Amino acid sequence: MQFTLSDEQTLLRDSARRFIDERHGFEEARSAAANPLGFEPAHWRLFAELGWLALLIPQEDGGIGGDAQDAALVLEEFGRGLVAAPFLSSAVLSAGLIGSASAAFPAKATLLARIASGEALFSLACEEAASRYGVARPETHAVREGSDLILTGRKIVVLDGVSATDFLVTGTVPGPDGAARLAILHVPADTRGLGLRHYRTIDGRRASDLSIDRVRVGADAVVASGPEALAALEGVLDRVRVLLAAEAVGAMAAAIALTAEHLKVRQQFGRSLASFQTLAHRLSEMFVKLENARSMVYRGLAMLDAPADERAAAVSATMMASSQAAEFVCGQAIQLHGGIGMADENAVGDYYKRIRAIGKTYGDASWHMRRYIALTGACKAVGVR
Amino acid sequence: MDFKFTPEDEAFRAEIRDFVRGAVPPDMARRTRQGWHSSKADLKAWNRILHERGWSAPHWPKEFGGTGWTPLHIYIFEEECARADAPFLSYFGLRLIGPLLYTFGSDDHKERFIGDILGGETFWCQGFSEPASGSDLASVRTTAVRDGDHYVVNGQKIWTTEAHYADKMFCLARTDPALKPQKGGLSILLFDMDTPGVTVRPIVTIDGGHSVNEIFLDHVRVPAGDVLGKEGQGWDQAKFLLNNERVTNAQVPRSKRDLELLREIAAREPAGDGRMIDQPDIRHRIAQLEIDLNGLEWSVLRELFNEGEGQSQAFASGLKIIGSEIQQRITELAVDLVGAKGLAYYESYSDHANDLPGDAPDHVVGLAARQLFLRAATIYAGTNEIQRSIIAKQVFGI
Repeated sequence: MQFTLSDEQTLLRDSARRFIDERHGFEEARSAAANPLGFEPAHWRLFAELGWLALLIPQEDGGIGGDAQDAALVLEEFGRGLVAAPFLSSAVLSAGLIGSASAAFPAKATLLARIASGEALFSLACEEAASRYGVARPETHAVREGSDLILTGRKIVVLDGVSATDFLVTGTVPGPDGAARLAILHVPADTRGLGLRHYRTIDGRRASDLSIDRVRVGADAVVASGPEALAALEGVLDRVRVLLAAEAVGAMAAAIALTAEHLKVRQQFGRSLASFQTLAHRLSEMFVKLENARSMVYRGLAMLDAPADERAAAVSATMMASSQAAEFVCGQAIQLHGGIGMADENAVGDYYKRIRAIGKTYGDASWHMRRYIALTGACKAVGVR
Repeated sequence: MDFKFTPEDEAFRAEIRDFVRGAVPPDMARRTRQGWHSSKADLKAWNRILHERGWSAPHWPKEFGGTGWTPLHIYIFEEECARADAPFLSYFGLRLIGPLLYTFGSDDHKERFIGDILGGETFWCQGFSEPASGSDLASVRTTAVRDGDHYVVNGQKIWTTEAHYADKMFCLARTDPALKPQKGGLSILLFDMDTPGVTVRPIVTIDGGHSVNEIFLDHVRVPAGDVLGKEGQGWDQAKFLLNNERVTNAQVPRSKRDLELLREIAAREPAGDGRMIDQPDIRHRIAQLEIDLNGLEWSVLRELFNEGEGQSQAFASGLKIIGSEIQQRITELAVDLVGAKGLAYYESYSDHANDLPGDAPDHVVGLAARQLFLRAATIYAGTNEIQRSIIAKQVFGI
């Protein structure tokens, strides 16, 4: 066991940190998010040059071959800098799903190369009106027509849909026995029959509802199907969840730094706010919760390679701990700022809104708690040995 | 970063487990599970068993009788001891004065005291807190005035855990009233509890138990040679202790065991047609505790592996805050699980569980008392409020 960073990890973290410090201050973050695409294309090109978009693509597929720990270092900095680029959608989720496809998916190498270069922007469409974060039983279905598949359904809150060049869509396809089975399908954004309705999310980012009306794709659009598709989705989503928790850690740390500064500078009753013990202790409690959340990110990362049930329980534990800490830390960051914390122009609210959004992305507190309880069973304790 | 236990770590755990499981007598394990402060006899017996194996002070340097294990292996050892319901060895010799002695003590002191601490032959108590000096250690009023080749000690100590077990005390006193306490005014003196002028009076705590005491020091004559290290080093030595308690105050091995026991209780306790562990509210509370304890454990692991890299005192303060709150929440839930039976009061180590309500099962005995006693967890070893002040100062410069 070892918690210190390797030399490569230190370099990676430093380069992400430098990007935030030099090119992604609060004003840049605001203007990047205001771009109609939802992010700044120049930043995306830089990510490609720095190799970040290939970070999680295996070396044999032309990528860097990094792991979730490496990505967590980048995401923590993204959290600090409020980076809105579709990194998780494209370089983590989609690269992960396509990377896990077998050789039966012919476009694998081409698509991974397009993701790594930044040319393709992938977005995952898996949430539906009634799915509530479950991916196993979509109400989007494909029927066979000749050698093609005709897909119909509706997806909601498709993150980064506005900029997507390509979608990965979950739905059922007829299996060899004729029974419907889960599948992940590759659907280019310009495919006929796709309808997109874009809107803003609470954190100023972009999401879309995707209507899929008799969309025709070839049989070779199936990235994965059956139990493999479900295993790939759950594995990759768990990875993204822990990375979201890492991003939340970065956001919490930044909110704490802003709050500490505010308490020292702001004067009331002829003295600094920091001199009021109730406020100083609140700040200390925020630090304690942040460090606890960070520990749970480490634990979540450590458990990503565990058997599926253990992994899922551990990831949900990480997400519970992270979202509870984030709500306290960023909520109290607003509280300790007083009135100015409520002003839209103040950065502290952006951190709060981002962690609220993270707390609703690919699972929320209720979903994670129920998943954790279902997996840890009545009498066995996973993780607590 | 690498988050895996190595095969060597696992082999080490198996070795410890094999030994400890077989070494704790079942009646001793039962008493430990009941949760009252361990009896002197149990502490002594378990200390001896470990000492024979060379494991009574794994955290000490090898040259003084420790094991030379890595911090992780020491942690694994403590975890396995807790899982086997071994008594938690007396803190004051092995954790506090022992390390002070090998760090600051003269050769004479090391020779006279260290061996008996390792073997569990001598019990110590810590004379720090006073009626007017709780969190504010610099304000101690007990004086030690030089008189020929002796110090004459006068004052009062309080909340002294295990003073009624102790053979000796290490006592913080003002040796130079002209100097600031932090700048050479304080010293630690070592003396026998049967020295004339030492009076120990029990303090019964809200759980009805007796583990802490009040001590009156009336013209206690201590040989001048029995000041620890040099006169005036008391403040630095007290701060050294604070730094030494970094991980232990999180109490993770014990809380993990308590949570395991809690799940067993929940599986045994009836609730209508089912069991308590099947109730959604109970599952939810257990899950939340597991998650919180996981976080604490991984913070402890971080701390263990960053040793020597200047982790801040603030981080350790955070461990203490979370660890003490978790201890309280676990026992609160455990008492909830036993329903009305949790109202009955049991004398320490009573063997009469079946005289009490509903032929109470063994797991009920001691539970409510422990919950009451653990209100102290957020007070002792530096109140959680003091810990928050430490964090504010260290992390934020406030």
